[in-house]
Amino acid sequence: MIALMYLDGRIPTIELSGVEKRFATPSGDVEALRGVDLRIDSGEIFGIIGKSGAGKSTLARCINLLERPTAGRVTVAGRDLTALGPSALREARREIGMVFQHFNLLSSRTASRNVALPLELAGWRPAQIAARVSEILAFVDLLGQRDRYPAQLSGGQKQRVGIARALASHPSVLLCDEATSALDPQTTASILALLKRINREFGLTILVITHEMGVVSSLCDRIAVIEDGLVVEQGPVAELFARPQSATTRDFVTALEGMGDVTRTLRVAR
Amino acid sequence: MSHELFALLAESFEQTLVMVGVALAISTAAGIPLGVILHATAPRQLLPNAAIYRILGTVVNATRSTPFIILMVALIPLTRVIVGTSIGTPAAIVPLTIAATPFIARIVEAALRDVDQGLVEAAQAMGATPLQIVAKVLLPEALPAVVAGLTLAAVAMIGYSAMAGAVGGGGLGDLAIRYGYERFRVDVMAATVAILIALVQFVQSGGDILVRRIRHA
Repeated sequence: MIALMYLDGRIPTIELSGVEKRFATPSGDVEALRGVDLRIDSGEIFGIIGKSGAGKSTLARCINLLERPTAGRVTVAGRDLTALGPSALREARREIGMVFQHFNLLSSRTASRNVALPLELAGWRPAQIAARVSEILAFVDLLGQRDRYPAQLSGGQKQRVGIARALASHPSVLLCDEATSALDPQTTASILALLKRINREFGLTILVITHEMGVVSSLCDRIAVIEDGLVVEQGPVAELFARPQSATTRDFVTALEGMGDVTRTLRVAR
Repeated sequence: MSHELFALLAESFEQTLVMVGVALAISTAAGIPLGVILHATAPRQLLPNAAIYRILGTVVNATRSTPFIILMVALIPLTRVIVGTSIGTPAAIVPLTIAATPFIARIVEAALRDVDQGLVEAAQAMGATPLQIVAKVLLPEALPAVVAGLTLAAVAMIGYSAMAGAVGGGGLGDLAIRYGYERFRVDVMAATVAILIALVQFVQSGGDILVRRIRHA
């Protein structure tokens, strides 16, 4: 299917329109998303930031329909996922590589066999799988650890396996759900650098969902701030930081400035 | 130990091994798919199906709540149909298998339920079909727990097989009752119990070693 071209000439990779998600609970319905509109362009690094409970994770899971929206449309690489049947949806999900906070690696498989999993699922031939796995493990600098089990890897190494696995089947989008939230600051920095390199070298669109301001400020081109199930603000990172409109954005900017002060203090002390 | 006693013990030991071994193999082959279906059809799982889940669950629970000695007698007509006789070691395999299958199914179901839901989601995000999720994610990840559970089942079945003497099934338990108890042969009783203890120890240690070898966590 041919992707729609917009007036500004950009090709949207992900488009959400009017996405709502309600969960039925014993104490009544909970509205996690209340009409989210977003457009993520091809080749950009887009950040979705919000506090816990704002609806970030639900939004992430609505993009590959791990969670089916109650209303609205989700278009990825030109295909309306909400309109697809089970088998077409499985096919379409291969366009979206997903990276998880807790890595979600199979403990029964070595690093290389974890990376091979999506290719096995897609029916690749063993020789093709072996070649692709070596190529992608070399890219994330894990060839030396290929025969180790997840339990024998550090957090940063596990996440690099997770990223290699997400990249293996040549997706058009990388969806990172709190991908650095379980990592220490130094490891976070190395993972962010890797994501940047992936964006630069493959031109891959990356969507980052996080509650960490440092992540979006150092990585993203544009961001959307989500609050109480709604996008309250969106735009280029520098613009939003200079003139924060919503309370959530102001809180995040203040927190980031606080961190800057700490960094400065540390530098002075040294 | 007399030559005659040694021959008796050897024959009974072999009968116990055959009974438990064959019954364990068949009930594992049947219990794993049954456990997978129980897990997959449970609410909020891969293929939720309230009707299948409830019917299978009820059958499994009913079989498990029937005392083995009663199950064995109740199954005599079925045993006759399957093996042609209701007496002897092959006949004892039938009730033993039918008693062990639901037990193993529940062990498999619990082991699959304990697999991190995040792994299932990761596979779904990769476009895996429910069958692929079972084959490539759930069963391999649950394997150490399944093997530990099968060890448990094997030990329980060694205990149950002793009751098979009631249908003339032979085995060590039968020997202990006929010679050790009814003929007051303390030496037979002691030897039988010693062999059973050694057998259970062997099975348990073997299972533990296997679990340690396949668990990479």
